[in-house]
Amino acid sequence: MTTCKLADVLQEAATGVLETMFFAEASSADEDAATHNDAVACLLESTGFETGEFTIAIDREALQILCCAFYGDEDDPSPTQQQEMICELTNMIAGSTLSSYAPTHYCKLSSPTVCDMDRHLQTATKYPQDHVATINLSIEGGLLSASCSLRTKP
Amino acid sequence: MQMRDILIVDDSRAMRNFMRRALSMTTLEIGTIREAENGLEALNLLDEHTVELIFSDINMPIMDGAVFVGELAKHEVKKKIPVVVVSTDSSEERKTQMNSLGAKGYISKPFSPEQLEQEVIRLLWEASDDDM
Repeated sequence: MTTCKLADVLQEAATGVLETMFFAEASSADEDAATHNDAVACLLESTGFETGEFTIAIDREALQILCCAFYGDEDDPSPTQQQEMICELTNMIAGSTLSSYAPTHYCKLSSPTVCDMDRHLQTATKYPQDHVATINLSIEGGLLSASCSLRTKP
Repeated sequence: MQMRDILIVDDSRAMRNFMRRALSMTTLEIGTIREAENGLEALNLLDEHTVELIFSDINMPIMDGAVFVGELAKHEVKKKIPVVVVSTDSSEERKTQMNSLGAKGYISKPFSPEQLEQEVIRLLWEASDDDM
């Protein structure tokens, strides 16, 4: 699998999750718009046939909008709800990506954890020998970026 | 259609909330929805309450979905409750494993409320055929 293929799979997974379960339209962000303002990030790790990590970062305003859509509640989501939602979003994007990228092999995902933006930015550079992909999506309220770094079991 | 009591087994509170919401968006007649954070909690809950359908995640602490479904199959009454696995893992290997353990349905995340409804209707029709 090439890095280009991984980026395509990651984009398709993220878009599918957002549209199906968060009822959110997503489109590729312009290069000029691919900068986060006050974002929340989340990390999870994959082990097994594909070893590595996934991170998601969402602008806080976009996160609140996604929360309202996910929970079906128009009230401002609590910090706990926001954290739970970004963790579930990260879990679904990672799982959906791996199901397409390595459909016949087993991969175990760790429990997602909220992290800082510096950690999210490390994913694309931490293991240069891995297959790495980063995508940026424009959604209502701001930017969602997803990065993954994967190493295939020989 | 009769009201169905349901059990949702998932360690993610966000996902349990979403399942409730997705079920409310279907035309299904839903009775009481109960929740458990893992397979062990679900087994204990089933000792106290009767349900007609179970949705279960796979990756959970304490007792995961595979062990949970396997434990249900050992019990004369509990093994008759249809289990739908809800997971990000859509590999054929996993689906085959869960089916062999006794799961009757499988929904891969992400899914729409319509997909959820179709799977439930399919299972309930099959269950009513088995009862004939």
